[in-house]
Amino acid sequence: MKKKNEESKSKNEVHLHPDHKVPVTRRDFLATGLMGISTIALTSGSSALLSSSNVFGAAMCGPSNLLCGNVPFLCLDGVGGMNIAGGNVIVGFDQNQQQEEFGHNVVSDFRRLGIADNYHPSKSGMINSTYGLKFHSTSGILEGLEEVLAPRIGDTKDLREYVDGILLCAVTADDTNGNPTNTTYMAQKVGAKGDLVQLVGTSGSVSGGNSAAPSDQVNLTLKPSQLANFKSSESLLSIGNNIMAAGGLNAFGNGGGTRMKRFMEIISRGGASQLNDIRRSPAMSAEVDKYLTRQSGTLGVFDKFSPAALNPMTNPADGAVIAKVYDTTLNAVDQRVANILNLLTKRIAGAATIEIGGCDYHNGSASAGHASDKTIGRNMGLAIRMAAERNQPIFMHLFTDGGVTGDAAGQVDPDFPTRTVWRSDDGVRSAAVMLVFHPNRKRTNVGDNEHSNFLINGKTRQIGWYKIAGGTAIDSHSLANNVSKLWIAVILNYMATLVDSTDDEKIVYEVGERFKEQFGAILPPDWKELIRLRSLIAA
Amino acid sequence: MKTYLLLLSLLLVGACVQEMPKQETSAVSSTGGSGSGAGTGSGSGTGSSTGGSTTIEAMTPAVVRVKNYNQYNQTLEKLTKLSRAKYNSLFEELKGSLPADNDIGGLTSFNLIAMTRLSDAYCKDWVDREETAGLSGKLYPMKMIDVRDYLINTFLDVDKEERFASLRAEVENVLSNEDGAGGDLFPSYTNSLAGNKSLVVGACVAILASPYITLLE
Repeated sequence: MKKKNEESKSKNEVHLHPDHKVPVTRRDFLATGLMGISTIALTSGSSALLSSSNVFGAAMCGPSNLLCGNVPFLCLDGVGGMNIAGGNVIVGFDQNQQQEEFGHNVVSDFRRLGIADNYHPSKSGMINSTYGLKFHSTSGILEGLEEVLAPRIGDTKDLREYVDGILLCAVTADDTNGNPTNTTYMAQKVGAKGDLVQLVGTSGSVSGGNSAAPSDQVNLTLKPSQLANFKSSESLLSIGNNIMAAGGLNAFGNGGGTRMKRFMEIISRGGASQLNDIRRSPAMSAEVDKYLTRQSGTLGVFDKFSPAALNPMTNPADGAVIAKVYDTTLNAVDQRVANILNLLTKRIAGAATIEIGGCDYHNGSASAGHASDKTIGRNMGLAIRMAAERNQPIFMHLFTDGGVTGDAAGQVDPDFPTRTVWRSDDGVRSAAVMLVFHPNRKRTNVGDNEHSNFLINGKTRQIGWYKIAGGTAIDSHSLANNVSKLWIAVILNYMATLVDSTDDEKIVYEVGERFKEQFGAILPPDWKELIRLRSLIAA
Repeated sequence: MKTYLLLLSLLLVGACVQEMPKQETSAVSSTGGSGSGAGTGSGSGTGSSTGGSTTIEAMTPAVVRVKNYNQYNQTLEKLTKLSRAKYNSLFEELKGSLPADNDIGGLTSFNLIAMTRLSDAYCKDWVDREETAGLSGKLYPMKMIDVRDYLINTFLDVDKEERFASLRAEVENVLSNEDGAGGDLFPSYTNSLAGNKSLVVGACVAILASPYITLLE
């Protein structure tokens, strides 16, 4: 056997001990050294890792390829049929598709959307425009967003001013995972590419969440990797606990990534004789080449990543970012979400799904629903803060399975006098939201407060509308009552954010052409009307 | 009635066998079971077991294909003679990362990494078992040639020696704790039974994750 070389220990070695608790708080990160050396780590390996990802548009952008961006894409899957329109995001009842055009001033519709009579959005102070997209002032989602995004000491800018969004009025089926509303596969297809893994999710399902992805869009080779916590990120690159152990490749020690690559090279070289023999047959050579390409790609992965670098617990720079973003103790759910946001905003993953349970909240109160809504808003806010830390844009798609209706007689929750109690499922009163953030584009109104520089000129923030005493007006757009194709509206808008142009006509044209290339001739007749968002990559 | 069912069964078996195109009948061999269809868990049974190694009947399909998750798991079970039930939890975890079908075009880096990870689990238990069986007396002090040959004879078709010359060399590398680039593969290796067992696990993985085992021919 060869004599072994002693590896030098770094003075900045992080001390994580198996008999110590997992660091989850800012103090814990400091204690382990994760935060103390963050400056060094941020200016070394991790910044190299991120260098390419700071360019929102890919290198392939050119006159013949304007749809060339790569914006992190996050699905938030509110499981159980939550309220989105009305009780959270202001919804208009007018065919102009403007949020503040209620069309009438009766209170019964808003009772069903969770708003007590005295808090009807037409009343003073009930509409909050802090995020461009208008929220009801008593919205749980808004409260969650505010909890995270209201300026903190040390913030150099008010992140809330760099956000906007749109509301999509549409019917979905209640309490089922059969609504094909998950959009990650399609987002990945058109631009949400990860450097290491394409799709990740909190669930082990084919979609990565609760609601399904459209079956004809699922690509099982991209099935989302399920991530439960920081540690689980290591599994993205795990080649086995035994071979990676300290007594083996010592994958988590200095040079561990290199040794893992060397081992994979051994496997690769070991197969050379066989593959060479197979490729003697001309019919086989193309297949062998494909295999070799994958082998080569696998080796390349280890050049760029290591299991330790994927785990914020063993990656000081990431640990520091997460500690700063969360600024509080991370519970198990926080850790699961933080881990995914970390990978997404570093472009390690292309698109992600986060399931948020507890949204089937028609339990005769308003407080339970408010808590779930707030959790969703908080996670959206954390995604924005994490993206801001990495100087990245982000596109979020919030959807749910069905909806919920408030007490028609207007009974309020004594603990929540601004809100009516939730009574039952109501998929007609369903909706989805797309929220976008750009770290360097401050939102400005264009004309009136229904339009902004995040939106295509002249377009409003609401797709479709609600009708009096009826929830979604199913004739308000072509997909309003077509849940199997609802994804098209989301992906059209995501594609619009990826076009390297500030010319609205070019954006719409490019989206239409590229959509047809990617998905075939399935665009609905009103597809141009469904596009509301502008590019997030064009200067 | 029984006769009718028997005939029907034979016809169905015949149809299944024909699914594997017999285009060339050169003396090509592979290792492990070959099944058909991800998720069905059905092996088409084209292999015939010969002790630890399995020789596939001489046939070369028009295209080389990769084993899907079920086929690969079944192959590991067959080669190591370890019940795959023990690895069910890991297998379920990895299923989404292992090849979903036989198309090499759809193969990803994650597929290869996941195959390596699954083989690692089998190899650890295989070495533990063989320590007092086929590898008895060979591990400490390490009888490298004996161990190498035992691994290769167990997992590969020895009649096709010229086809795995490169693998033999790489197995020797692992058993010698060399990374192929002038360094140590296992930096904390100590010349002990435990240390040598780790090397053998590595050598086992190097074989079971290699295209000899991951590909369908």
